[in-house]
Amino acid sequence: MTDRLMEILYHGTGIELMLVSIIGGIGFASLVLLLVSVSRRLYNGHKYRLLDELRKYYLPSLREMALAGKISAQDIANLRARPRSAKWIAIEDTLFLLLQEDGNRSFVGPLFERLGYLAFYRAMLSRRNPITQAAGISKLGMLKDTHSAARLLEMLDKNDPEIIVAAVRAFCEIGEVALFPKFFDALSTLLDKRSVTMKIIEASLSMAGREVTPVLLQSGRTCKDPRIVSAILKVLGDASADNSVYEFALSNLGHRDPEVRAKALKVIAACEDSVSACSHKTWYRLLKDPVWFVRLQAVRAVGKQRCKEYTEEISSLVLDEKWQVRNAAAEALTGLGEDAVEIFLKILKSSDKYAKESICEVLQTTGFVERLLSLLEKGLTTHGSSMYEIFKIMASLGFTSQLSDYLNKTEDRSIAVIIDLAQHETAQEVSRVLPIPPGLPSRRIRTELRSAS
Amino acid sequence: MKTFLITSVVGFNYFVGFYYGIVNLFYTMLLTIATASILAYIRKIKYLPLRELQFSPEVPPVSIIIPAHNEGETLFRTILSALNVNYPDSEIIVINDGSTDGMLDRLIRKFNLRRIDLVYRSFLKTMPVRGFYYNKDIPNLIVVDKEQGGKSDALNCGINVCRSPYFCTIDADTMIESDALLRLMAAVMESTVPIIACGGVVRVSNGCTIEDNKVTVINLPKKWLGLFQIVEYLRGFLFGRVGLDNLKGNLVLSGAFSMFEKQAALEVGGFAVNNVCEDMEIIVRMHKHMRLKKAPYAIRFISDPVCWTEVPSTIRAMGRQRRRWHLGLIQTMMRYKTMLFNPRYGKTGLLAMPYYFFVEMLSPVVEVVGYVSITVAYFFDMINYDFFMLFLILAIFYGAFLSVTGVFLEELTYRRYPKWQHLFTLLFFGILENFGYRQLNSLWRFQAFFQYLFGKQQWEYSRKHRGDEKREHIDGNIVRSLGAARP
Repeated sequence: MTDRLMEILYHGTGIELMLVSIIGGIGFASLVLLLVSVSRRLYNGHKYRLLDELRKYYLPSLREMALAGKISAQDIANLRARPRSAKWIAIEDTLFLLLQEDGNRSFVGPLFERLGYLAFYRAMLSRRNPITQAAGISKLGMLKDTHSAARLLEMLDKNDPEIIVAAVRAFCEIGEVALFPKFFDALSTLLDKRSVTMKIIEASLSMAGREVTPVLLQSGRTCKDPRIVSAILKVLGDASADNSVYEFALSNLGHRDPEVRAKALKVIAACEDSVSACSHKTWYRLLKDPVWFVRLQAVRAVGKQRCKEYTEEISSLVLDEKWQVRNAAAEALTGLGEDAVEIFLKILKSSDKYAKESICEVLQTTGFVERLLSLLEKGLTTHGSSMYEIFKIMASLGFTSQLSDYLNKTEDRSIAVIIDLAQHETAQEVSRVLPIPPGLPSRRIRTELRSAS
Repeated sequence: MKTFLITSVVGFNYFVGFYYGIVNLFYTMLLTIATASILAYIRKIKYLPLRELQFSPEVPPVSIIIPAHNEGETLFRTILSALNVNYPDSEIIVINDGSTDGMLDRLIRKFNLRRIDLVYRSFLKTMPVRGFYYNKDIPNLIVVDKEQGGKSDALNCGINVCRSPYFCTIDADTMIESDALLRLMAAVMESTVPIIACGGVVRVSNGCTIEDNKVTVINLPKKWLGLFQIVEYLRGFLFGRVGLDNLKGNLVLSGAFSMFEKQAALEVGGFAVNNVCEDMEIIVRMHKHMRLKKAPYAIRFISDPVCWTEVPSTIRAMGRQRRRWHLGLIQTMMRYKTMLFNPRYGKTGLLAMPYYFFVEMLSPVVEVVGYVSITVAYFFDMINYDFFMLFLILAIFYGAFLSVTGVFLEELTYRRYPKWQHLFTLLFFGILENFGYRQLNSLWRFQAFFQYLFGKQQWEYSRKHRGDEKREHIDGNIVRSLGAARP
């Protein structure tokens, strides 16, 4: 074999020599990969062992210093390390660990500065590699370095989305209140250039904490960009809303942008008794908004606060073209309790199949059917016959599971018979038996059924 | 006649050499791109704000759709792993696709489910739904019982039922890691171009220790077939997919673990029920649709969200799986052949489609015919012995090199296999797979052409049971593809 190879090397044609050199190259590359894999594993094994030891070593002493709340110049000198060395990484990890423990921020924060970490990460912002820059930005955000906030704003002018996303996030984490107006100006430009997504802005703003709520409100009031206003409302709506937030949302209910109106409605829904504080005219307009997701949020808000004065509008939304609105409207009606029975029955008797299905679905998923059955059982209702008809229609549309479940567990035979009838008799049969349904032992039920007939 | 034959054989051999050279050049390019990309991504994931996102109300809700047909205990494991994901708002939709072995009853018992009547809105046409099951103590789990219609039909049913803007499809024998969904969504949230579909890495769970519905100890399988597949998956995911992703040329996201934007999936009409590899078909259709619509979009492969799946552990089961994958590839390529070299479809038409057509689809034909042709040429003295041997050695060396690179990339980046023994075993099997395993794979893929050409109407489908698969047949064009994930 070797002789043959030597012969090719000395006397082979051009193509043979080329093949031999490619094979040699590939063999060499494979060997290099193998060696790199092995040496890397050895190196990493050693590195992580060392890091573990160093972390274990520094944690008690740093915790002790944090408890004491002071650190000597000598300690600082001992803790200093060459950037990216094992000691540097171990101390940084330990400090981050302490940072997560309550009450340590005032001690650990300045320590990062004194040990040179902040200077190192600030310097990373000037590097050319975008990932290095983004890593530096991210660290500065985690360390809440307020001195870097202005620099992070400058980073938003870069063209690299990697850097921009990291800068938006870090800026919000730092939460430098004074710079937020400029930040929102920059965001508008970034959104125009499609350099950042709304989701990233919303997620980042939600990280900023409650301290920035006043500045968010202030910016929201002055901002002309509906996307930013919408993001602010979204974030404020997800946090627990107070009076000022509620007023801000209220002022945006008539905004020209439907996204803003919808987000404002979400905030309103989260505030107790907020719906009744608004004018009827506003709600009528919102419940009839041309944009479906505004109607959806409006009906949810009204439903959540159980406002009976809008029952008629909500009832009409059960016939909405969008199933989401139909379901939300039906759900809102369930909030009215027993009073909704007649409304449901009216719609269930209509010819709109989709509305009927939405109602039946919601009646089941919200536990309304169970509530009705419980009322029937306790004899606390004056709508017995309507309920019976609702069950009958539900059964005819195939919504029988909860009724069947009830049948299986109830001991009240009188109601069981009604449910059984509602489930199994066709409309004609039911009407035939309705005047005096056979086998009904309870006088109350019989009376109700007779009155229904 | 003799001269013609000789000329043909020699000519074909030159073609094989040329084809081989071009393919390997492309692989080398992919490898280089993938290595650079993975190294950059590894640095990036260190500052991904996963912890913050995990509790953020701004993270969009996701529905996890699990289609299942006659699945055993592994389905419970899959459901429990999905229920335990670190994600702020997720729902799990299990579709019982007409199981006949009492799977639904087992599910009802296991999760204490109760029947509930919901409105089934058929945005996508599917086989009829028989019922919905729910437990109010597990509000984010819903089981849908439907008539048998195949995996695509079950997935379409899941899309109809789901109410989230995104849905993730996972196989019934696949466990997703707790952060996997969040990692996918982080990429979606950050991307300024709307990501309509994205997928993560599928890893082999054979041999691993599974406790509390997650992989706790990573180990290698004892069977050599599993080891070959690990190397194959590493190579396929860490350099093939990553490389193609950087070229915006990915036409496949593994059906075992992918996430889709619901609206985009509805726009293209959901999963195709007449294709054996619905995961590839929908991606190609999405590319086509979005290109024609001229809307900005991205389909991404993300290399760190991980799910674990069982791979076939018998030759027979594996052969069936590979034939099916290749048949799906052929079906998809032929169905969308008008996209080939068509500048209207941009990179998809000019790069991805030609790559999948000429490299992925035709390579087993060239390889199998090439083996025959070169052997014939050698025995009839139509080829120079030295040249023949050198070419053979080159083919083996380069194949081994690519496999070793897959293992190397794993070592360089995620290092999931912790022991020294793992590293050397995988490297050894990376070399060994070029002696028989690779050829066997080519043969299975070659057979898929016959299935395609001769219009086999009885499609085979596989059901895995403790790592093995059972062969079953169903009639007509209903295609079963509940097998394992492709690398």
